[in-house]
Amino acid sequence: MLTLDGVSVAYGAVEVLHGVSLRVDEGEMVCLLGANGAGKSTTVRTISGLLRPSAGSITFLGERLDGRPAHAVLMRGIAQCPEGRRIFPEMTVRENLEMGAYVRGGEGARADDLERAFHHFPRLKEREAQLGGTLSGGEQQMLAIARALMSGPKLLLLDEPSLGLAPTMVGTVFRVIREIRRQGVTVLMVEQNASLALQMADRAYVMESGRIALGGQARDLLHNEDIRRAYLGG
Amino acid sequence: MLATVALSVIIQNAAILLWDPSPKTIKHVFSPVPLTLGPINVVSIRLFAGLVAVALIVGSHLLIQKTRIGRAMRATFQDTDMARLTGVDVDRVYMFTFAFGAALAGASGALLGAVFWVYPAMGDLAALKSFAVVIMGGLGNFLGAIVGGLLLGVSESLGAGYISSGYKDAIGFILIILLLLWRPQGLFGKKALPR
Amino acid sequence: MKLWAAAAAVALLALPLIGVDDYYLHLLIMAGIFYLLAAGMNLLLAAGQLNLGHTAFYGIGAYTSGLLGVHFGLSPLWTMPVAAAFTGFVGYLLGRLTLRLRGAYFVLVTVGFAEVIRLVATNWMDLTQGPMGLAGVPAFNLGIERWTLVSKRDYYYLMAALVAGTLFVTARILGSRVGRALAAIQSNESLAESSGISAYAHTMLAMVVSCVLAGVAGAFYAHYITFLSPELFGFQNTVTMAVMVVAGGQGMVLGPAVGSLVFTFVPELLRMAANRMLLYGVLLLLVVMFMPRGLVFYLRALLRGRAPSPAAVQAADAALETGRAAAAGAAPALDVREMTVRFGGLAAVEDLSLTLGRGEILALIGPNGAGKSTAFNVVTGFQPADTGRVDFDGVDITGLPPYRIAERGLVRMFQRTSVFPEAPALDNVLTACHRLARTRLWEVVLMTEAAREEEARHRRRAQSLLNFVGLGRKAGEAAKNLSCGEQRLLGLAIALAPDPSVLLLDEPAAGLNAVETGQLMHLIEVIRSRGLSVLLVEHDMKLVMGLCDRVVVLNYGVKIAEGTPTEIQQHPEVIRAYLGSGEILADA
Repeated sequence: MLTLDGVSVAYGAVEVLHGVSLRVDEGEMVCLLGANGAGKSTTVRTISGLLRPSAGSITFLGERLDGRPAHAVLMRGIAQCPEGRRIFPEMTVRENLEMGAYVRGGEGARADDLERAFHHFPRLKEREAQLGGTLSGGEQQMLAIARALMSGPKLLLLDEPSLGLAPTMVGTVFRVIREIRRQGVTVLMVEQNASLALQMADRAYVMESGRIALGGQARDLLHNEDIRRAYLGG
Repeated sequence: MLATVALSVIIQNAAILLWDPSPKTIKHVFSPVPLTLGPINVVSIRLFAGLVAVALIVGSHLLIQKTRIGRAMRATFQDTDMARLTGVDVDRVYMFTFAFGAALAGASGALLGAVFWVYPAMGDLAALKSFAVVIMGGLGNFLGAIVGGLLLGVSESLGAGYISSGYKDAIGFILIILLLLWRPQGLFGKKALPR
Repeated sequence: MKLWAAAAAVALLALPLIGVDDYYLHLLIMAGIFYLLAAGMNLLLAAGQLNLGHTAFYGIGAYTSGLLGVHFGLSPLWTMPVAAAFTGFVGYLLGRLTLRLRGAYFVLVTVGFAEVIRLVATNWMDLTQGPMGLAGVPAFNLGIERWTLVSKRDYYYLMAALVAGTLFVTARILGSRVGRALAAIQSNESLAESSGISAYAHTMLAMVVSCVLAGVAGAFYAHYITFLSPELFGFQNTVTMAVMVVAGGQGMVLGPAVGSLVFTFVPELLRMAANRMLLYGVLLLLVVMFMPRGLVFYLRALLRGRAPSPAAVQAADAALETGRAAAAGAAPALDVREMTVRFGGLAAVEDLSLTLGRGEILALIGPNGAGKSTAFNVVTGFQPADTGRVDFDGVDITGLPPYRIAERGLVRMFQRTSVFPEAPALDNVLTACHRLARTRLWEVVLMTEAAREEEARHRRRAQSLLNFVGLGRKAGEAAKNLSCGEQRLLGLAIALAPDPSVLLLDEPAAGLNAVETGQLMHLIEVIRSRGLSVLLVEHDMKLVMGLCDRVVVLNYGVKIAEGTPTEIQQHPEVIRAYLGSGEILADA
């Protein structure tokens, strides 16, 4: 469904991604792991069009995506839930969701889209008129995911969904993600919580210094000594 | 910012070239005889201008709060990158916002010209006062601008009446200086956190 | 470039002698006045603040000197310096009020200020005669009738002297550590502050100097034209100055000079003198859109081709001569007690206490969002804590601004923005040597022996630090062109420049490969052996386990473990926090 082939990205003269190649097949959940600064977020931001690759290609459903602006990527069916949630703080829950449906056109989000969102995330229905900035961390993460889903994407990019959340909230969020997968949405997820991520994913890649260092089936990597060593140096 | 200063200089001076710099009046249908509403005497044209201004403010508020483009504007202001990720064409939003602002300025120019005079430099003082209003209300804060505008208008009139009419226009800036001494981020503005 | 400038200067000085018409001398004198104004504006712009109300100071200088002359009959010899000093003082007052504002707000307030002053000048008839203007300002004289300046030529040479003086002072300021500090503030204010540079103090200095220059220009105008009107405070002058500064080349010494010459004569040459404002508007727009760096920048590129790298600087022998020996003091290097930081209802850091011993390397680790960066921000003064206390070397530093903390010897290296991108590597490190300077400003401006020697010493020190981190050959390379790893090393050199006793490193190994990480580890070891204590935040476990004496683990803002690397590796809570537990999914 999504293929990155030899993608390199540079900030000015400094290259931060070197020839990254990976693929995500339809219906899969693929994880991107690695230490801070390894290039995971950069990769995701390049896919969603916020960054432009200096080399290589990104292909989605047969079409080239590299170099297209963010709103064009969204129209093709890739939605990103960025690191740190980034909900619009001065807009209500409902307005945030409406922003998610912005690409669908029309004056407001379609009523059935909103209904579906509230059905999956009942807590948000309770807070419909509340300003986004007043929600708790976990609620904001739900809102961010719901917002990304409002555009009806085929591929969902999740950047560190468990960041800064209390353990119980992390459980809830990941349950939601599993439910989304069951609905047939393909997911590419960047995560710090390696063990949890590997339990949910089909395949995973480990990044290091802007390159893909390891790749394989999730259950193989889960019991892999290299991962343990990389994360705890022991 | 300098580019817009340059633009305003160009437009002003082109206007001086095209039409002479002497003030002119706008012909309108309202009679110059003042209406009497209770204890207040007001000239019709001023009442009209005030009503139109209120209508424009309400209209702008509705546009910003209730429409799709208004949401896109607010989203772009609150988090530009995230707005891109929700499919907003940020460049188009900037263009629209600039045009919208220019349209409002044009409308207010027409109203001011009908109440007072029309001359090429009329925008200078109005622009300065609008700066004062924006600083008082905080950049990006629509409600703050309304409160600031009212505050400025009332203080100016009271000041002109009780102190001296020559310095009327300076009152706005005295207010700002006092405000900044008390709250460096404006009446409603938010303090920026260092990164 | 210098040769061209010198030749032009000689030619200009000779003009009256070859019988050039008085009209052109007048134009040149006006160009000179505007040069003084533009040079002041340029100086403040070097710190990143645009003062669009500068004409107010021009008028204040003019009226002060003029009024003193008219009402008290004092000679301009006295009134000019008084006017200049007074204008500088007004600039100081305005700066107190407004320099904490940034960007657009500052511009708006300065524009408003000019307008207020204009209104005062127009309406305070008793003082200024209002719109009718103040006439009868005495011409230049030195108190003796015979020595009154009469001919254009006399005024021309006086202006030439003022211009030369201003060129000298601005060149000295911009070319010295003050100029570097201003550029640093504009380029990366946090890094400048944590290298010991006070943004407020330096910007205020630029403001006062620029206002003094405006005062001189105004006073000269008063005694030259001998008639003053409130139009001096008009926006027209501001636009003219802005064009000269921006089109001439902002931040450059010769920028305002070229700008003022060119833009005084262009309207003449195009016979558009009457419509000069329209022309200025168009030119300003074109310059901002197409030539934002200004004429001088492009001229210099043309004349010089590629800029030559600065000559290799002879490095000092002892790379890290730390003035502070690892003194046998009782107090630990750094002592944090019960620090709590809340955002809204959420605690980013909860009751954190940790101690960094002298000569120790301590790591602060934990998953993303655990509060490590927040803790760093509080210790280095960038963020206030709700409760808690930070002691540095036994002294309470809680709540001090970043540059004061850096002055005492606690220096931080930032995570991502750790360099000044536009400047060459050597200048990056040289800027950070700022707090070691002992010479005063006047010594720098006059280039005394002591100042020159100190500058050379700092250059040697900067070069040796670059050698130490392995970037010796890249001294002349702009920081933004260095690779990620090299920028990190440069950031380390910058952090070492102010001669710290405690170093805080924020994810130094992020984005580095195994080889580069190894180099970094070796450098940190050497740094420690010279007596520094190091506190670092890291995710790279190889580095942490291989280098650190002790480790503190944070999770959700709370310290969950503390001990040697080996102890931490086997700590079950740490394993759970980092790798995450799979238990959460046990149901369903």
